[in-house]
Amino acid sequence: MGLSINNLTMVFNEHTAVDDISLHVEEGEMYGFLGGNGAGKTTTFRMILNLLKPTKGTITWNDTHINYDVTDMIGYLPEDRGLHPKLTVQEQVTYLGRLKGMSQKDALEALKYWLDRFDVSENLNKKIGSLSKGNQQKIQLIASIIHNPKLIILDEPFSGLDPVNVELLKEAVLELNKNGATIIFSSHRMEHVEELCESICILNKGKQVLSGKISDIKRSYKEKRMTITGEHDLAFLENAPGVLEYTKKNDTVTLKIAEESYAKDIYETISSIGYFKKISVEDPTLNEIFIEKVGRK
Amino acid sequence: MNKFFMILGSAYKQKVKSKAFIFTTLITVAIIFLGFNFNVIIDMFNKSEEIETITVEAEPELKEGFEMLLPNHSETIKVTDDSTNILTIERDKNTLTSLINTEVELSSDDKNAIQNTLDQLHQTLVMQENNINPEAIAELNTKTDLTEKTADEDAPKSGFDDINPANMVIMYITLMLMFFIIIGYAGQVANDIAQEKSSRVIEMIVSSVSPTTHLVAKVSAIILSALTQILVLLIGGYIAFKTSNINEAVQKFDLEFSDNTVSIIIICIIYMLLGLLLYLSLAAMLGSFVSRMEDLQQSIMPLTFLSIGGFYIAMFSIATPGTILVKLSSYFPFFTPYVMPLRLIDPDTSLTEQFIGIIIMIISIVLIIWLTTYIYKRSILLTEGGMIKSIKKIFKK
Repeated sequence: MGLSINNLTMVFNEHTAVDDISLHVEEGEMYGFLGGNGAGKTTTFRMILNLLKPTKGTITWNDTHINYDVTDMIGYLPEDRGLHPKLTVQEQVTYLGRLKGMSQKDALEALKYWLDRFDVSENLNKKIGSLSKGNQQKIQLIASIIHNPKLIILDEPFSGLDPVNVELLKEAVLELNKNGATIIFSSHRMEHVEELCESICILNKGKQVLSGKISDIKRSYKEKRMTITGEHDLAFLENAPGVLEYTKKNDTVTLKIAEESYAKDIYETISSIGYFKKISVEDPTLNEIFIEKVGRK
Repeated sequence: MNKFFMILGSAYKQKVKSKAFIFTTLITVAIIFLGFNFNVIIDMFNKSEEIETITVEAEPELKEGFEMLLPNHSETIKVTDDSTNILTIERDKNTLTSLINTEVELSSDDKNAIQNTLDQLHQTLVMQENNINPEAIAELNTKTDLTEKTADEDAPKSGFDDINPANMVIMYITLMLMFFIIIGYAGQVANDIAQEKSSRVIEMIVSSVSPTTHLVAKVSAIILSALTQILVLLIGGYIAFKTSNINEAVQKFDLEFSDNTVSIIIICIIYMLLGLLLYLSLAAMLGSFVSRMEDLQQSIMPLTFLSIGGFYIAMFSIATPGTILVKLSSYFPFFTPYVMPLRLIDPDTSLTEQFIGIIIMIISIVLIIWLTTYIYKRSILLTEGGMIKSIKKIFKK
């Protein structure tokens, strides 16, 4: 059950935009797509939605192929934002809601609920063209989730929003997920993905470089980060065995070590020097993993 | 199917409720009413009045002659002895000079009546003077009969004389209506499609409903709103015709419907519908090439040229519907809706040719719709680059 993607490939002319991606998203899961610009995220989403026909591979939702018979249970927020500037919020959103099979009354009720939720209820009868960019983005998110979809695909939902609005949107996404929706979203912002998702997939130039549960990925990563805060001089650690990187900021030294076992040796060495306020060993952040996988090639 | 009717209904309502639709319809209806009542309007600004009596000051012979001849030219004016309108006629041998003094400005009808009476009076005087009998005058006025005979039986022989004027009026109205409706609504179709594409809302729409359903529903809604407008204009025109007194004026032109007038009207309506379908589908295709609204005018240029071409060929051939140009262009799909109905008023056109025209139109419409949906599906997600780049990309894949 859930969303299954098998050997998905998309070739435009001679350019391979998506190269043999396979993954599985469990029903009710929150799944993150990570990748730089041109990594193939939007193309993958469009194939899931049946807007583009894959060159190769299959996509199924609960074992059935996705076509226009089942699109009513999918919500989609495209990366290219835009609504009809001359329509009012009510006209546009209820129209899109009715396209998803809602009645005018239900769509209007749901719209009012979400406008209230996002603190923009005064915009109900305003023309979309007259709203600020951030508010337009909220309206578009509402339009994509108004029909209470089972599968929600959000392409860069947080880009261009201020921190307050990012929090509002995040809460809404979490609520939808809690109510049973499966959510797939893409982002450049690692902290959002790390905070919201259980599983991720990292794409680079159309290729799937990494996928799975975040906790498993991190655990499988042997390199660790060690932070030591104290007043003693630790410059000698730069050349210690297992240390890959050494950075010092004020009285905090951050080390990147090849394996957790080296941390034990370092701990024993420095604890003989004297008192340290903080010594910690952590898994690498998603940001570090991403840069490691995508940035260095 | 439900979504199709939902899009159709909501697009239709939006069109018909739009200010542009309401205003253009009202203004056109107002123009029709003004047109049918132009004689009333002209009279409003024309201060001249009809006179009822006239006093003639002349030698008794002339006075008597005038009084006798006047009823031939005017039923309203009576000759009396004490009228304030005084006509003075002076005679110098066979030449008459006259002067009329009236209280109000003389209407053109009255002036013509008096002028004609004087002319006839003058004619009679000359005849009497020269001893010409009236029969001789009548014989002089008969025209010589000229009969045409052509060796080539098939040569186009229909000229202005063969064409029923009532059918020609219907043709003018059809051509005008078709041209303006096609140009106006083709612009709207292209504009709507391009707007959805350039505002990017299309990606959300096609994630709910297939592009083909969306396109066909949208174009159908616009065709329906065009038909609504035509219907309103026709009803408005009918009411204006019935309520104005122009039908008296029209009767003076001897506009009589011929046997084929009804079939001409029916075929005109068929071609108008087919023409709308063809041109609006083409407009949808052209609109879908556009990714920025600035390129819209440029993109619908080919459609405008085709439409103007067909319209002008038809307009300039309205008196000569049998020429080779008309025959050839009536089989070119984009000219067919304009030119083929015109050939109806030529008695030499067979019904078979009309059916061939309709079949050509139907095949072209099916092809254009197929091509439009093919292009639309591939172009809606292309939002970068100009038109030429989009066209290249669409056909490369």
